[in-house]
This record gives sequence, structure tokens and C-alpha cells, in this order.
Amino acid sequence: MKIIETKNLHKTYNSTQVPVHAVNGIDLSIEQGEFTAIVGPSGSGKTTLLNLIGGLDDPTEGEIFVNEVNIGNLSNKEVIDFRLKNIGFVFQAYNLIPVLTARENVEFIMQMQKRNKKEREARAIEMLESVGLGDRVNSRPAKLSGGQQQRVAVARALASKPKFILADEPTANLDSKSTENLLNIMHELNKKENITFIFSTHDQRVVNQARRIITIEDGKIKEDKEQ
Amino acid sequence: MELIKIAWRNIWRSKTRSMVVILAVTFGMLGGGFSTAVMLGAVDRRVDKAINNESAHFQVHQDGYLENPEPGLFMTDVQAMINEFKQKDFVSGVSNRLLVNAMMQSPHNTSGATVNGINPAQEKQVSSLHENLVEGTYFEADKNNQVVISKSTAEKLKLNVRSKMVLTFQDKEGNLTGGAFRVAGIFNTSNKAFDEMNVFVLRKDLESLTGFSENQTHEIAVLFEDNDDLKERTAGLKDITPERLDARNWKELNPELGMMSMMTEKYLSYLVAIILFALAFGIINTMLMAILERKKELAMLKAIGMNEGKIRIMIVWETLFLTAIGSLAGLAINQALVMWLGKAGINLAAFSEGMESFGFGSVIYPSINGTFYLQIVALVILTALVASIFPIIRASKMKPAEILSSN
Repeated sequence: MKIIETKNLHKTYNSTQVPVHAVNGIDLSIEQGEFTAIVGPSGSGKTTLLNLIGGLDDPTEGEIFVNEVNIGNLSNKEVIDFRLKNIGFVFQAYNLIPVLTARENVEFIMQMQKRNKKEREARAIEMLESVGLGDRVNSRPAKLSGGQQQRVAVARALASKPKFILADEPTANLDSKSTENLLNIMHELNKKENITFIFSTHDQRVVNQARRIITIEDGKIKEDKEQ
Repeated sequence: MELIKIAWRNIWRSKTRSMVVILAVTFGMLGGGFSTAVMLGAVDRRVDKAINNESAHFQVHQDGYLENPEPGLFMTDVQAMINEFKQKDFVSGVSNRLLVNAMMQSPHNTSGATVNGINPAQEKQVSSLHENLVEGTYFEADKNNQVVISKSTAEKLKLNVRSKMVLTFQDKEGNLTGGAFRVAGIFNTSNKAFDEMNVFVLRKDLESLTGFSENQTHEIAVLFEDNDDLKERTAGLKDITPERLDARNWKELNPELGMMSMMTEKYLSYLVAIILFALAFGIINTMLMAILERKKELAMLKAIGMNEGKIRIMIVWETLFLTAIGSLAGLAINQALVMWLGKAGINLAAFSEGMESFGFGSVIYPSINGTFYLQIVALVILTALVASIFPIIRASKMKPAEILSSN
């Protein structure tokens, strides 16, 4: 089942005198349950493509369909709500709320979805246990290692029951053990629960785990292969 | 609820920065609140003294007397009206005064004053003058031609208790008359102008010298149990008063006092508003710094689906907490000071002469009322809302894609 489709996607930045074509005519489709890595050199357009798919940025040209919904036709408010209900995000810098505990961080997104307290608490603990942090639910981010924080971020992304997860360089700040641990968790979730993961990455360890690798250069797809 | 929790915890992320703002608000509110309490205390006391020593709450005169106090403008047959006044449960006393303008003479000096012919038993029910005696007595029984004068008159005319003085005035028919009086007591209120312009004699002595009868009077003064419901009570007494007479309450008799009371309250509200307005800039600065420091976090919240409305509410709560903590602390200290100094008083004896010339006592008892605190709560909420506008605008302009992609 097709979950994401982009048609003739362009994103051009005009902040300097010379326009920069960060994404330059990308046609792409991603199926439910894929474990896909988007790779390419710095400045190739990986993060811009992820931002466009996630509705964080508007394309200059082209269309993006998520679950057959053209997100270009949605208002700002609708896009925010759409993200809340359909997309999970994992960022390079973890970006947890430092004043909340691990459990509260995971619960927070469900509170925005207006789920009841009992359900929120149970699911937050379930998600944290699934990423191996059942014993750290009451720790604040400052008390967790980088790898643990990123696992909380994954738990948070999963808690909202998204259609897919966009992870922008999720292992860039992690040591090799934490990277391996995190990748194993995400791989398990992908296999067991058929959750779609899309990564932008430079990390060869992530690339090795991915089943589909899309290489981007100068805003265009250079190679799209399965392994 | 979660937003309030986050907002509360957020303000303690940078404890020093938040404490600086909170302390600024605390001292600002303490300054504003204490100034208010001192000024309201001084004005309230001035009003209280004016009512209890000078005008009482309500007075009745012959029409035109207040504009032109001629001895011939007297009231007659007022006993029925006085009896009706006394039947009102809020009336604590009624005094029936005979007034004449006089020249006071001593062997050393002369001066002008109004002679108040009073019945001491009645007068004690409407005036606290007898409590302000600094020497002598408030009239001795069975003695004629006694006079009670103020300390400033005594100093001016170089008189002591038992000294003799001559009062010269017009009689009922407009003829010049007078008499020798012996000083029975010397009083001192905090209003120098009142003290210099008033002397008190027994009404029966004045009646015999001026030819007025027991049934004729210039002024009826009525004191109420308290200062509440002035408008309604005044209206009730005016209904009883015959139309030919001029009935006024203390605010109408002393419009400058009523105006001072109202103006002080308004002025003090503006003072506190200006203090909060100035503090708002400090709060805005702190909040802007906090927002810029947390831009990645805010961008993340927007990215994962937190709408603008919730981000705005979170910022408003943070601003409100900063403002409210400082305000509550400032007002709590203020209230403690007011409770202490409201009993002990602030002694400004060094400035007593200057203050008394404006009718203020040299000891000020700060006081504050519940309305002031309600106004402050409203102003604090308004300040927090105003101070959160700029941080909200800054947060609204943040684009998650740009911020999350930057290092």
C-alpha cells in the first residue's frame, strides 16, 4: 500500500542572489512498512526532502500525497493537525522537553491528541519499555545519555501511532553502541509492527540496516535500490 | 494542565534570570503598594478628622447661609426634624449650633474666628473635639462665659487656661455686641486652618449675648455610625428636611476633600499601572531571551503537532507566573508592613507644621482596601498579557524546518 508519493517535487531557496535548487524534481513513492534510508552528501537535499514530506516546509512546485491526501491543499492549521495524527519525528538533536521526565515527554504528544490520562500513561510506559527504558521512565533528559534520549524520542514518535516515522540523522550524535542499540529497536518495530521508517543519514551503519536506499545528489534522485 | 506544568517548570530553568525579574516585580509592587497605603492612610485620616472634628457627615443650614453666613440667616422650629433624624438607626448624634463671626481680643493680639455656640452634651455625640484637648477642660459645669480655643489661637493671642479674652460680634439684629470669656480648655486638631478659625462657647451664653432663642439655630450637624452608604443615607435625611433649608453631606460641604479622596485613589491606580508598565519591559526582555534560548524546543513542538494557540497559552502562563509570583510577594510584604504600621503609625513629627497646614496629621497610619488588591490582580493579568505579546510574535515567526535544520 502506497503511503507517500511525491510528484515533480521542487524546492528552491532564493535567500541569496543565486537560487539554490535544494530539491529538483523528485518523483518518489514509499510503501507501508518500508525501512528506507535517504543518503547523499551534505547539501544534497536529504533534510529538505524530509521536511517537505513531513509538511514542515512548502514545496516551490509539485505535489506530496500522504495516504492519498495532498498536503499542499491543507491550511496551516490542518497541516499541523495532520502531522500530529500521521507523522512521527525523530531529530538529530533529540529535542526532548528538558523540564519533563521521559514518561511525560512521551505522554505529551498523546495529550495533544486529546487521549485520556489512563491510556496515555499506559502507552507511554509501554513505548518506553519497547525501547528498553522501562527503568528510566521518571528520569529527566539531562539524566539520560544521548542514546537513551534518542530512544525516548523514538518512543515519543511511536506513541502517537503515526503512519510513518521521519528520522533526520538520528544516529549522528550517538556512539557506535548506542547506534546499534537504536537501530535494532527500530528494525524490530518495523518488522513486528510494520511501522514505516524513513531516515536521512550519512551513517553507514544505518544504510547497512535499510532495505531500500535512495541516493540524492544536487536535489535529484541519483539511485534508488533495494538490498 | 500539562501546559501549565511545563510553563511553571520552564520559569525555573534559569533560576537567576527569573529571580531577577521576580525581585524587580516584588520591589516594584512593594513600592507602589506602600506608597498607596501611606497616601490612602493620610487621606482617610484627613477625611476622618474632617468628619469627626469639623463637619460631621451631614449638615442643615438656612438656605443661603453657607454662601453668606449672616447672623440673620437662621433656622426656626427645627426640633421636629431633629427628632426624625435621631430616629434613623444610622444616626449616632445630632448637634444644634449657633454660629457668629467674631473678633477675638487679648491684651496682646486680636484675631478673627467663628464662634460656635454649642451644647457640650450634644456636641460630644457629633464631634471628637473634646478628645483633642491638650489643656484644661471641655467646659466646666455651672460656670458662665467659658471658651474653648485652639492651641494656635492660644499661641497667637498669648492665652492660657483661665486667661480672659473678649469676643466681639453682631447680635441677632445686627448690632455690635460682645462679652468677656475665660479660657476653659485648649484643643489641637491636625487641621491648622480649622483650629485658627474656630472657638467654642456654651450655646446659652451666646443666646443671652446675641438675643437668639433656644428655638433658633444656624447649623444642625449629624454624625453617622460609620462612613458607609453616604449617598443613600444623605438622600434619606434630605427627604425629611424641609425644602426651604439647605441640606448637604460632608462631600458636598467639603468638595475638595471628596475630590482629594477620589483623585488619590485614581492617581494611585495610575502609579501602580505605570510601575507595572515599566516592569513589563523587564519581563518582555526575560521572556524574549527564554524564547530565543528554547527556539529548537519550540520548533520541535510545532513540528510534532503543537498548534500556535497552545504555544501562545504556554508563553502567557510563563509570563503570568513571573509577574504573579513577584506581585504576590510584593503585596504580601506590603500587607505585613501595612498591618504593622497601620497600628504603630509612621511618625512624621519633624514635618508636623507643614502637614497640619494642609490638614494632615503628623502620624500617618497606612491603610489599604480590598478594592486596591482586586485592581492589582486585574493589572497584573493585563501586564502579563501585554508582556507576552512580543515573545508570542517571536515564537509565531519561528519556522520549524529552518530552525531544526540549523546547528
